[in-house]
Amino acid sequence: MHTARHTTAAIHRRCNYTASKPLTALAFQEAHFGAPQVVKCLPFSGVRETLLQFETFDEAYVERLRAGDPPTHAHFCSYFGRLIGIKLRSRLSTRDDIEDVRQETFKRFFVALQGGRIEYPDRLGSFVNSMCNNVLREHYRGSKDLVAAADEDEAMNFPSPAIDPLQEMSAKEVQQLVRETLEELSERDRRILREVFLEERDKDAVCHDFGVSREHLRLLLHRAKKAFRKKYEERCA
Amino acid sequence: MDHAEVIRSQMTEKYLLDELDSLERDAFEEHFFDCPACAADVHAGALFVDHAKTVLAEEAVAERHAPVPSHARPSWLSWFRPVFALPATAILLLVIGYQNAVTIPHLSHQLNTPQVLPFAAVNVGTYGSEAPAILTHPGEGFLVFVRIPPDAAFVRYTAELYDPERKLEWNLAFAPITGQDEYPVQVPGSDWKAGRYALTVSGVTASGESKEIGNAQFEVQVQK
Ligand SMILES: [Zn+2]
Repeated sequence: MHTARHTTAAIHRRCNYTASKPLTALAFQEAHFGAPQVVKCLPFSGVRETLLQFETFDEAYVERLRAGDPPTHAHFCSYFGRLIGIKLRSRLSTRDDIEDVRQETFKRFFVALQGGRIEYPDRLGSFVNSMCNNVLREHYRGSKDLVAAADEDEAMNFPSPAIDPLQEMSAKEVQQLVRETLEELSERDRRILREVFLEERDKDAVCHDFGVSREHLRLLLHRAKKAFRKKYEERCA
Repeated sequence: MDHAEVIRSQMTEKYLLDELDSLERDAFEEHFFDCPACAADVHAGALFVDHAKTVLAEEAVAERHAPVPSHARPSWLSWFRPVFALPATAILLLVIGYQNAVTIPHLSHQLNTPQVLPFAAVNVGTYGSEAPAILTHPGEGFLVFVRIPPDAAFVRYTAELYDPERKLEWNLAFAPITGQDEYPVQVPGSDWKAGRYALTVSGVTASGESKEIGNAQFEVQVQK
């Protein structure tokens, strides 16, 4: 059986597109027609989003998780699945790699949980993070064990955040909130965000071109994020 | 790293802007995995940035290209709409289209022009060695209409294209569309090898289990 998971290495070799590098005519055509791996960088319209729902991580939470309480399990996978996804996306280039590392982290976590190795329930996040770091290190070393381990037990697949049951808002709805947030910015600030995030230009160069400081860039992101959160929370309320 | 320091140092913004060195990044992650306030902040910021890229890409394209009246396109061409009729995929094309329109304007012009592409229609999940032929040129893309038996168990499909030497060309994930069993796949141009290409399609269930649905083959003939 072929799965995306099996073929990640080959994708690295074959589909090595970088938007900022000069493109040959062939690469341009490939990119323009939709290089498949780039699809993974943007959210699918069917993906539903929700802001993180926090629960207190304590002995009771860990106990519910150990007992297989479905809402707790779903919360855990959603909450940490998202954080792991954010953590990994600056380190790994494909969705498959991210999914492999996320799944393996969850798998090891649940083995540790059942083995009674969660010593500090209030530091659950740190435990998950360090476990993810270990898996990531093995991934970097090219450990074949990761793929083999992931396939050992199909029943141990954990829902990715894209299909978790806590989803509330469609990507389209989130985009509308983002659009409204962006519309509140000045034309200059929208341009800055576009050049930084969309065109991925060097941030110093962007700041220089627009005559602003890096501090302005941080403040701009901070305000936009804050406004977006407010809209999101209002919409959900 | 404590919460007050994180706020004071604008760590969330620096993290999202990729301004931290690896030690700072690790320390901040160690913090926000345990700090609900920072976790929520980072997540909201990441969500905003992800979707802002899409919105800004749409705007960028809208700015660069004058709108084409809908009646200007022959209606049958809508059949050849790019890949899967998936909005996100379409947006991807817009993003790349924008980036490259700046880099290679003459090619951009070519691609904004209606064109007839080679195509083949294949069935996945049926047995047989029939492989329709596609006549193409080096670097030229084409369309493959992939018929997939609908199955409500799947929340996602993945397609993988293998060249005649069984090397993976690319893979692609896409969502099923209710009531649809045929998906037009726009295959990127490549340095084609003449011979039989294989497209393998798998379905992914809500629990994340992947199951191969089947594969289909088509013959690529390259005209130099
Ligand atoms: Zn904090």
